[in-house]
Amino acid sequence: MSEYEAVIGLETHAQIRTRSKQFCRCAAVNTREIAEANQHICPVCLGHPGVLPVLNRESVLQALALGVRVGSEIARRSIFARKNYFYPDLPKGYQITQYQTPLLAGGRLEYFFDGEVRIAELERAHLEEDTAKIFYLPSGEVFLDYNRAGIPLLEIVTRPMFHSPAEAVAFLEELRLVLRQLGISHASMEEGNFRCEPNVSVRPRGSDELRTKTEIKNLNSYATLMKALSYEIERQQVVWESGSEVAAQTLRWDEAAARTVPMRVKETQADYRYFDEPDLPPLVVEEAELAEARRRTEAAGHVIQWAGEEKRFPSGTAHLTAFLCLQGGLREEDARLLSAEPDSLALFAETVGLTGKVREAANWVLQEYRPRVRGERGKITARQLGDLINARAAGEIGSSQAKEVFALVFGSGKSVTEAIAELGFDTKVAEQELVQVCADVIAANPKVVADIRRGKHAAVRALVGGVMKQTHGNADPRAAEAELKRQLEL
Amino acid sequence: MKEELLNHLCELARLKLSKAEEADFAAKFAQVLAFVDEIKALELNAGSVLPLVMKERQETAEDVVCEAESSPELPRDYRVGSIGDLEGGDGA
Amino acid sequence: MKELLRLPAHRVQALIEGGEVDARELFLLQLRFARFVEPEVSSFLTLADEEPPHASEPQVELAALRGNRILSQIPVSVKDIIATRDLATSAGSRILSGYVPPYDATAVRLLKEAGNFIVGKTNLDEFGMGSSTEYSGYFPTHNPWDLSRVPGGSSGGAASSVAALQSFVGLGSDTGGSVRQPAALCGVVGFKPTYGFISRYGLIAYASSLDHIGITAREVTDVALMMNVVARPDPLDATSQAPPDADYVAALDKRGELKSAKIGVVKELMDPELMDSEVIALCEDSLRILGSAGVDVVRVSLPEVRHLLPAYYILAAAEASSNLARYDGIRYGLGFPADTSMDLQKQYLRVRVSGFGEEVKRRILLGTYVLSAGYAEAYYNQARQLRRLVAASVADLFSKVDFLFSPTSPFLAFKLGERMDDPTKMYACDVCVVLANLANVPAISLPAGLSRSNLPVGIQLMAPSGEDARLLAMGRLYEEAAAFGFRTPPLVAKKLDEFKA
Repeated sequence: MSEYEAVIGLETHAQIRTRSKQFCRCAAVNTREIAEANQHICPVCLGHPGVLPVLNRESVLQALALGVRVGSEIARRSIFARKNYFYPDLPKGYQITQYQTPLLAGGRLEYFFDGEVRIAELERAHLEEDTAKIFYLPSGEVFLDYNRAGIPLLEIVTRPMFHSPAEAVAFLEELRLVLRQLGISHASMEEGNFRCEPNVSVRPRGSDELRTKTEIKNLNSYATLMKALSYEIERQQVVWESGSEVAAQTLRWDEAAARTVPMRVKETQADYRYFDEPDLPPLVVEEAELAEARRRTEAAGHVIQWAGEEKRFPSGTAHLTAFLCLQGGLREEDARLLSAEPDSLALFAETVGLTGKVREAANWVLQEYRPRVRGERGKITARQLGDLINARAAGEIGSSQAKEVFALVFGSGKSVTEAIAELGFDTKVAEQELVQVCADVIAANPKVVADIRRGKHAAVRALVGGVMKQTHGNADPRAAEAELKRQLEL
Repeated sequence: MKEELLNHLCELARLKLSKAEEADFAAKFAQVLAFVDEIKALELNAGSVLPLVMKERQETAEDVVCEAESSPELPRDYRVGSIGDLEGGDGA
Repeated sequence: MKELLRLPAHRVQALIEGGEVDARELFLLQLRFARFVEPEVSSFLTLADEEPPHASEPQVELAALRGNRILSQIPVSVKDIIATRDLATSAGSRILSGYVPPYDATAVRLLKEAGNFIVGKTNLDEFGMGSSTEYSGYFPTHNPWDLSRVPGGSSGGAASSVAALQSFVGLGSDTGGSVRQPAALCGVVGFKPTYGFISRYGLIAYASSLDHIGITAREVTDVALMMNVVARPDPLDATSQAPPDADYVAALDKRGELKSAKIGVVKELMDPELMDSEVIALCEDSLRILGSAGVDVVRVSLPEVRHLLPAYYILAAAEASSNLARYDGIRYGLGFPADTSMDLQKQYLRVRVSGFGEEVKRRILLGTYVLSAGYAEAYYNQARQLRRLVAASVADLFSKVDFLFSPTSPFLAFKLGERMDDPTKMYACDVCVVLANLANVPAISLPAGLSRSNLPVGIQLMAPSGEDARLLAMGRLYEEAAAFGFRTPPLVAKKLDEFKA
């Protein structure tokens, strides 16, 4: 075990879901192709001379909803600032952001990691605007798409408190789900509307010092985030162990070389010359806006029926996962999957309410329902799924038959009884016929019968299998076993 | 002002002084700095600073899409030459 | 008909409304005379085409708002720092040469909706940074009273165009006196309203927290008519805060109530060490005129006055360094479309080094410096503190007096080139006028007569924040009592004689 431990902090940027941009009324559309570029632009988001910003009210409400959810201190009066630097994706030569007074200060978000609920502490969250998208053309030219310029962003900063890349990712995933469930952001890393820049330092295990950190930028998936952080932690340990010091740097992940490399940055934190944005008076949050944010946060929570009782959980997965593991006896992985998807969760909970069968309900929902809802047309109600589980438990159908029934019910909306009938799984084998089939099976398997005669009674099962095969699964296996034993005089 | 500082300011502002300009510019810039320098020594009661904007609170806009009437006329093609290995600021 | 060009706007408007004058004919006459005088004074960077593109009938709604008391069907000039759709707008800078805004500034839109005509875009110090119009990126403007002298600045073209009978009224901008000081030097009225009363949307930013659109005119009534058009709340400017129902013209009728008002003369701004003796003498004459009109004149002190200029130049430069960062040639203006064979850093430098003039570069660097880590505390934050103190002191004075009085310019119009060797000599022009911007109060410069050398002198009156209507009424009261009226500069009068309509 290493004598160093990592200290990771996360700075994330989520595009806020709004119809129009942060400071102008162009459509906020995060297009990704050059062919669609520069369709949603105007003098304001292009930074033409003389234009002025007017803040989007909805982005404030969205941010407030997160504040309510994580218990931030909400600034009733916050101001915007300019962060000055040159880059071709920054139309005005400054970014409008919040500096000294963020809209949200502090806050805690629980996440489930390593079999337990942990608490992440947030430093702040504030409103700002996105930059233009840069395309590097094969010609060496750089193409700029200002559709993205001015899309509202929520920057969320955690305290440096995660100790492994996996822990950081567990938190990020929780944050992402909370943002999605609250409707604040699509929060998709692949689509580029959820971005994360971790900062990391290492220190001797057991110490509480904070050593020089490095920041890693341009990470576009959890996989690269994990790789980059793991590499960087390792690198810093080697630096300290060799007696040198880690330098404060901004790094990027070089996928080809599989290592972090320093970026050449013209402006550093000290060069941004922050000052109050003179074009925007203070942002005042009224009681009515707080009430709306509370309403949204409340509405995004989970409500499930459990053992005849209504249970409420906040958006996200941590509380629910813990509940499902501890109260429902589910595996952690299954519990997390259910918590992450509201409609799977609802079906699961309602089915449990009808059947009392937790594991079965979880299995059906995760293995049959969840993969289907993504691709196929169709649906199943808790009533139908409950009937299916009960039919299977009563032995009316076999396990592979049950899957066929599920597929038919899901695709057609038929009731379980109808589906069983349609598939012919309900034709019971008459007693007379069963007598005949059993006799046939005994006659056809002299070796098995010989084994049974020698006292290997368990071999009767093989004969039962034969009966089931001949009757295409329609015989009652228990009745078949009894008849076989009767004929063999056991 | 030290040349080094002036160069750093030029770099931040994406400006550059030619050799010919330098002497005259430095002299005039020195006059300007001498002019504003007295403010450093003032003993001002360090109370709360007045907001920069003389308005109590901002009006915000409804979240409705309303693209500018000029939007269709604006150029769609914006490009620049190589950025080199220089990255943006560490924000955004 | 050409004698109409000498009239104040409100009188010519009455003739138009009475059916005695055709507004389009007047516009053409105005445009042709503007061209005729232009070689002498150089007020304009762009003059309009003979066919005005916009309608001349005021929009009914707008007119109804103020009971038809709005400026309408009048040829006006617009300072080239205010965006006009389809009319080149450069802010006097090479960096915006050829730039045609895709939109109208709110004030311009309102002017057009009220049925007024734009004669052209007036010259200025680049981005409003200067006090003589000599820092224009194109050419200097000449004072119509003496062509060897400056018209003041930065709205020098606005003031000279109104004085030289090239337009009846001008929209200017005032960040630290830029409307009032040239008005004084050219013998016209210059008004800066309370911050936010005229939308800044479309005013190319120099120092946003100090920037105002202001009005240049021949008489106070014309200012009030213009205010009734352009002083509207604007959802496109978050700092806009115009009272929606104010009627600046109607307020002029209440000037009789101001006869018992109290005016405080800022004694630090009447200091013979700072001010030209002729300026002080004419100011004292004006005070006597006000006194005989019944107004109570007292002397008040504002000791912070001597630190105002450094504070102003620090704050303005700081904001300018940020506001002017957008000029990189990537989206519009000089250098657009970018030469992609050139490395980005080279493109930035090529555009900004050749596009900005010397004074603009100085202020950008000063602003970058005073905001920099390690220096912001000593400069920028100190200046903000000082601004706070000044605003408090001015508010305190206004609890004792109704108006404040000072000269507008400490000296008469100076010779072209006279103050170019030391930038701080130019900064000294603004000693009386920056106060109103820093303290956020409305201020007006009014003609106070001519010096022995036949150069105009102006007085400045300031009122508490938001008391714009009262300030205009006081201005009107003074104008009436002083009975100077608008005077045509002799050189311009001669040109008008020569002019064949």
